[in-house]
Amino acid sequence: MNSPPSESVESGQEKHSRKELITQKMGFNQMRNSIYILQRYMNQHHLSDKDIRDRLINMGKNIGATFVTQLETSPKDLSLLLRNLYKITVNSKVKVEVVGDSIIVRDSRCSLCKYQYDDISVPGCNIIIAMISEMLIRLGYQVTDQSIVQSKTFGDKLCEHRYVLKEVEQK
Amino acid sequence: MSGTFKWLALKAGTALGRSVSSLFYQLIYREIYREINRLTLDATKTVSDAYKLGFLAAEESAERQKGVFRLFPSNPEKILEFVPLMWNIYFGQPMAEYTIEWDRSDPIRPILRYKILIDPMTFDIGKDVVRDNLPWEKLWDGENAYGSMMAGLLTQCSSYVLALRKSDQRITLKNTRISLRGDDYFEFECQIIPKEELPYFQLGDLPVSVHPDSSEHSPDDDSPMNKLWMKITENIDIDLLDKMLDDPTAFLREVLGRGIEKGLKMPALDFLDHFLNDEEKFIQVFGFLEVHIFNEWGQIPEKFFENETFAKICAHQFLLMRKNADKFIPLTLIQETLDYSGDVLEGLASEAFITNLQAISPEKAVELFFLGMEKALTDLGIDFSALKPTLYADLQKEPENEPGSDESLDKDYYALRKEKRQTLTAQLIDHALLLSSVILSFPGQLLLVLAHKVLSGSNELIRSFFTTIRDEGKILFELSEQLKEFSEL
Repeated sequence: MNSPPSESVESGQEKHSRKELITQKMGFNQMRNSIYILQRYMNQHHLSDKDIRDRLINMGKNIGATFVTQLETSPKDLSLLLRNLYKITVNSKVKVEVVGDSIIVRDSRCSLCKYQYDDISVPGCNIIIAMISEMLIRLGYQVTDQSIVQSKTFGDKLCEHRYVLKEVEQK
Repeated sequence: MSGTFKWLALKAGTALGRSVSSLFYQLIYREIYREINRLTLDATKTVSDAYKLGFLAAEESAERQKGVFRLFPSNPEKILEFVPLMWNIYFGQPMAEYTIEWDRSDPIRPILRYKILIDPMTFDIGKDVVRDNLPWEKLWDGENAYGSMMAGLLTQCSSYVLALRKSDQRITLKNTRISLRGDDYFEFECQIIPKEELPYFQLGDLPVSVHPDSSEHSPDDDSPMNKLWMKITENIDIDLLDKMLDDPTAFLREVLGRGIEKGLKMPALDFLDHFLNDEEKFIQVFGFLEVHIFNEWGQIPEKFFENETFAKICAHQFLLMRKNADKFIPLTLIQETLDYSGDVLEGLASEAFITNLQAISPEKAVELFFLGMEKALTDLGIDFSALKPTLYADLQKEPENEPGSDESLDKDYYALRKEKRQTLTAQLIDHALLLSSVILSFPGQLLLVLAHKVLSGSNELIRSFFTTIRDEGKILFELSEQLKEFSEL
């Protein structure tokens, strides 16, 4: 399998790290589509909607766990931290609001939800809420619940994510 | 990727697209493979299924980017040169540090290998021991490695362009090398294949469609704008547009080449080869065609020539113009045009043809042009062989005697007077005709000079115009991106 590289190709991969990738941007339209094709693939393997949701949540947790190791700062202001995490990871400019014991995040350009499909009932942004929760937990916060209130996948105009944190409940 | 139009296509393709952090992209890519592998429990099948997923995911997206893809060339080899552009459109960043290598051992299925040093999908993979735990070495199905989903995606994208351009060929991409398996670089093997050999994938009977009520649904294909765009892109592609700007004569060369191929169903080189060592005929053809093309607009000249008097006037006017060609067309302009034709015909005609063509003097070229016109006018009903020496003579009725003349006494005197008057009148008519022709043809001459100058010189202007647009556009784009970053954080 391994053969010597051509003369003009030199080794240089070592200098590239995940840290460098944080600030770089990649087009995501096709990858967003891939998530919905993946859901159909899971469906073919007889996974229920709940199973599919659990798998997306698992994906998000794994992404958050690896991603957070590359972050160096974490603002103490929770709203600012959430805005930063959405911006740094999925390049979303979100609105954050504390409502009762919850924090509501509204994303009008969710990177994982854009279209409403006839055959899809699990929003792709389950990956995002799981990722953000995992990052918050690893940054020292106590997240007790996370859910999707609205989603473009359901035909809503925006995606609305709800996080319940002990820190907010105690206030 | 230095072309202005390639840059514009890239911006058109990415401006409305969604981007995320490259690290998020790398990690979600990893997680998709993990989930597929959890279902297949077979690394080989995981790679094959990921390829299908990429292929299917790109289909819907390609459908939405149809407008941009219509601008891509229809030649599969050209499409392969555009893989870095597609990479840029799809992955949001330039394909960096790569080399290419052609393998034409199978001429029907040539292969272009992109050897890419920088593969963001593998940066630091393995450092997160708990989660970077896919069976990397085993992710190989005999054709593809961990980059199979990207390969599937780009296979769909490039073959979609060819299908859109009604080509009989398709392209498949395979990720044949990757650092995760110990290779020194990431490799895409891109192969041109007959369209029948493109693999067909589907996800069972499950619908893969956007909800018809979705506000983001793609626009109707029958819209007038779409039809217009389809018409434009039938003849123009990014490659041609960039060639036009890079080479001042490329536009004419492309138009001429495509026109000959379309009209005569043969390559320009073959057609022009018929005129090798008979280049004088080639110039005659232009004069001949000019008259016939003019006549095609309603056959008006042909109808007028049915009137004998009008036909004679036109014939004399034509002969006068031919005799005084230098008053209508500056010879320096003809010389410049002959010189310019060498650049235009480069690649369309053989070197010998161009050399012979440029050896023809401007005077001779004009004479040949008029000769071609004369043949065409004869076709349309003008009988040059029956013309008398002057227009006046042709329009004269049967000779009449001077009124009250005494034939016996003044025959010679009157005959001489009559002859002199006829000569003067004929000369007067000829010069009046010439003068009116020169005056009437002045706008045409001006257009000829302008057209020559525009064709030979304006590309410089256009190139400078578009280069400025591209350079300033890039600066504006980058500044606005930076501004957005600062206003958001």
